[in-house]
Amino acid sequence: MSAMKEFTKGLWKENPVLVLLLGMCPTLGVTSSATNGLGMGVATMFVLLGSNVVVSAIRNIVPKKIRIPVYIVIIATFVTIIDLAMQAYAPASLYNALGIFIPLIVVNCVVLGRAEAFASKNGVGKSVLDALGMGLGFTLALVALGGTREFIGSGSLFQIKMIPAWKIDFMLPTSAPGAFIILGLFLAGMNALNIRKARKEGKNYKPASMDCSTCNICDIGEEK
Amino acid sequence: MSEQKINIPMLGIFLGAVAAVSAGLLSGVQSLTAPQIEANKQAAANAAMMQVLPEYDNDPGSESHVFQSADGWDVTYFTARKNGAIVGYAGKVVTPEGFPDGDGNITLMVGLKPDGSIGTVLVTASSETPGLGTAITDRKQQKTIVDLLGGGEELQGLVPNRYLDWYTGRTAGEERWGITKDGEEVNGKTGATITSSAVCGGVHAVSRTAVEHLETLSKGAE
Repeated sequence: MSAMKEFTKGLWKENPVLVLLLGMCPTLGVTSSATNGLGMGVATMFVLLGSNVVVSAIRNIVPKKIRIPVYIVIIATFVTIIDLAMQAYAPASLYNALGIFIPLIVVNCVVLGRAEAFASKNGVGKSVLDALGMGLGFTLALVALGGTREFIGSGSLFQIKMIPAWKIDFMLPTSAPGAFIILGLFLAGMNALNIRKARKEGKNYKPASMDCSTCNICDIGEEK
Repeated sequence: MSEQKINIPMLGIFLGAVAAVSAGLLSGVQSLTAPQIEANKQAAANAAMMQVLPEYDNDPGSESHVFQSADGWDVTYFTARKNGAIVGYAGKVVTPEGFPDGDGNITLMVGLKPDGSIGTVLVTASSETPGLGTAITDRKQQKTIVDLLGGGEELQGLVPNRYLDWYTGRTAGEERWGITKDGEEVNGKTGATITSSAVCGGVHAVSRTAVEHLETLSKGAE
């Protein structure tokens, strides 16, 4: 794969949220508004970038037996750094809204998944591109989801009322069940677009599911 | 290096080294950000105080009293002075009776006149259902696209909230207020009874405790 592809694959083809369905906990938890989605996305992107760089830099000296604990320590370090930095410099309202989900980036599968599946096998440069692409894809998915939920819920975007006459909030989209429903519609839309594109090219599109032929998070699929 | 002999002490040392490096890094970041985090917390507390108190020129945070209310909650009072004379108190209480199920915390900041009667009530933290419970606790003004394009009025001061403004001017007696419909005025909302009564209890505790300890409060800290 060329360098450009390492970057762009995270945006659409291997979008961590909409295709790989990773990191569902923050995805469903914090995307009640576009601002929260953006904050979470950028925070995760920073962690992803840091952990990918370090993991790929030390990939040849880490003993294989303890690589996972080492990755977790590295990821946890970056998460704590961003947690402290956000407490100090981010707007209080954003930090309060993201709350518990910031420390939980440690267990976000996107971050550990990229460390294990990509950064531990590729050079620093490629890993940076991979982290940026995946992080941006994660951020875009979260902003889209958050923006949709916020707009359907209260007619506003980024906390700015787009329809001033909209007075009473519609609570379903901004609550947890609404998150599942809207994420489901997003996935359906994504599949519909991909099927249409494949048909135009005369190919048969198989929706990405959790089978190993479309997922490269672990290397079980490759061994087959 | 897949089939090399497992050297367990070596693994332990490696993991320890990684942890040590990250611990060192974190303590550096922590000492860098700690002053700013502390300042932010102070600023957040002061911002709420400024909104419920009249104009003052001292530092209310430095002159505070803690009393226990009848319900056993700690109420913290901050004294605001102008030119040395007391212009009001800000009472802060955390009531544990909020939503959900009457055991969520609601943090209230209540402005009091020097005689212990209630000025402005502000909810600084709660875990209410958006749209239902927050109708009682929120004083947020939402910016609209019209404001952004320059058509709206400039937003200033606190947004009126009829559930919170109900308390203004009242002084707590022995008993709590009920969730009442008092002519045109209301302090409770159907469908959000828990929140309504929790806020009511919190405001009552602040005002009642202040009245009971008014003498100590008015003397100020030595």
